[in-house]
Amino acid sequence: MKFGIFFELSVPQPLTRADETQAYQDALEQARLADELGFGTAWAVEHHFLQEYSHCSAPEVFLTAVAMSTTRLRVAHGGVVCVPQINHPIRVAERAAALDILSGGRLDVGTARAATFTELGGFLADPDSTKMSWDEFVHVLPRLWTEERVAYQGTTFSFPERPVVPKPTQQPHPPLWVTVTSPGTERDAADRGIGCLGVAAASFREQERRTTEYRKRIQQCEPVGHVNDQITTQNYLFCHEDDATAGRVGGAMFTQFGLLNSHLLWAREVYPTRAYQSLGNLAAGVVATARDDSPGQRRPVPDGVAIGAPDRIVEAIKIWESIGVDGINFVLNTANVIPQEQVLDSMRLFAREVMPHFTEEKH
Amino acid sequence: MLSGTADPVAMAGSAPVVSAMATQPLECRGAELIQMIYEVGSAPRQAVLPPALHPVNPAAITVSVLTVGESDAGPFTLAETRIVCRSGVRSRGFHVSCFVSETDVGNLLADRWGFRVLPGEVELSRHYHGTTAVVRRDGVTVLDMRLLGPQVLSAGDLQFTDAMHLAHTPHGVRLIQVERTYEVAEVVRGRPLLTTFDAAAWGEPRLTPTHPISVVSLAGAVTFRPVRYICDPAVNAWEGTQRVG
Repeated sequence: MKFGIFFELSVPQPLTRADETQAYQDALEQARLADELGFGTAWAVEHHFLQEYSHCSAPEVFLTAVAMSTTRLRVAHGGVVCVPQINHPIRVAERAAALDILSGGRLDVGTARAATFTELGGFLADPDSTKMSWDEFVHVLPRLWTEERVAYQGTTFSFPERPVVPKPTQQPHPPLWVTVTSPGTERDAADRGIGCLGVAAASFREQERRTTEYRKRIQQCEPVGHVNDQITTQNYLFCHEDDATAGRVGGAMFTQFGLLNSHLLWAREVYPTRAYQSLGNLAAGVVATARDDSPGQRRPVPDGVAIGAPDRIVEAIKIWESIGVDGINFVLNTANVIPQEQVLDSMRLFAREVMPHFTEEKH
Repeated sequence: MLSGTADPVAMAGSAPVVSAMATQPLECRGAELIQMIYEVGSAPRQAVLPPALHPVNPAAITVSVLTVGESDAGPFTLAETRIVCRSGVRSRGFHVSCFVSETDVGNLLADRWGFRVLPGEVELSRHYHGTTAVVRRDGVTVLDMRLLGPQVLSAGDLQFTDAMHLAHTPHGVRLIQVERTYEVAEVVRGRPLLTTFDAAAWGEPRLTPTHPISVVSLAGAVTFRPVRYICDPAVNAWEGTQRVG
């Protein structure tokens, strides 16, 4: 079982430049501690315009800073937005290769296609074509990293033959992933031989279905590059000796994350299209069910969330392990709900009391 | 997290009076609908919502025109503007106002569901090549919107949002959660064209359309459901929601 940390770089309202700076500094301190404690990977999202929820619009810069201040921790895009109006694929390949060199071959590249109209509309991107552009990106990126010269004639982007430099340190290229929120994307990952990076907390049952489907399908994949046969899930971490304190403090973080997430303007809500069947982290079928709930109802912290005393967290992770998940990536804080010192203490306690129960399988 | 900053008491000055909230559905058959979503200027995004609701980013409005061929209240035509927002974690549209061609139906919608009804003439023309909706008040056009270049979608591609209507109710000034269900027989999405939107005529001059997002046009059936929830407009949904039906 691999443990990672996952950064959104959220900033509380009212927004100030000082709080933005603090969010970056706190995240860097968490990454340095994660490196010392034996966490495996630091992931950073790419989001644009999402005030409060995520101020991580230049993750390659943030991840470079993480790489330069750590020695073992892998750095990872979770993920690069594969929409040509937002990122040109050649620039993605160039930046990733440079970061792989600077980090000494410690880069993972997650891919994504953005799910909010805030982002897609802000770049005048066509929501109908993002699934197609993502597919083109994941096919062309390994070529840009491994072939001396590449020309590409596609549907959502094209370019003439050019030698894209530099090439990454890792051979043949950094591991590729796709972020997974809605059911079904695990099939897209498996069919292309890339890792399945869960970025929305799934239930045990949903994760088991997702993992089984992924493992089965990846056996018959047509790989876009070097096969990355891994599946991870996202979780939240607040570990404290006192289970009730953990529940109170970590529960507030969990609730705040869900609240900010629900306030995003999802593409499906305002732009009807077959390309976006999920409403944020809710699958299409769940939306209708949720509608009948009381609007005043608070969402409880579900089973399997790593908020609690060490023994409770060990118990939860054992279940994730039993259903075949390779790794868990933890959100450590949201909009400064938890004071930084408590976040760091939670990480230390987790490393001391929980990590020894799990061994990391090398891939 | 941002919340609305409008004073509910001041807002209630122009809110309708609901003598008895709907306990029976209003089923509307032979319905046609055009629904356009447009970005609006973000500066007043908190000022146009009561504290119970939360703005989205970017600020946006939904403008819709519905014609009903057959219902228990008779045929009618309704044009409505809502502000895209959140109530707690739920997607909602805050009802700004509406124009209803038929006075009796307008009175029913105001009295049972808290629609803020303005008198006007509402027209909807749905054709093979597009859809046009026009609203006139005292002979002056206050809305002209079109769907151009229709492309067929499936009903499953649509996402409808319930509305929050500010009204004087037997429980005091409250936001009424107005829920509709849709049976979609056919639906198209097209290129949105909004040539006239007179925000002042709709009762909220601070809404300035800036950028189109989407437009759909559909045919089918619409049901206005009985009222289930109301909310105190001065506090958030977790504290202020009350089940009434």
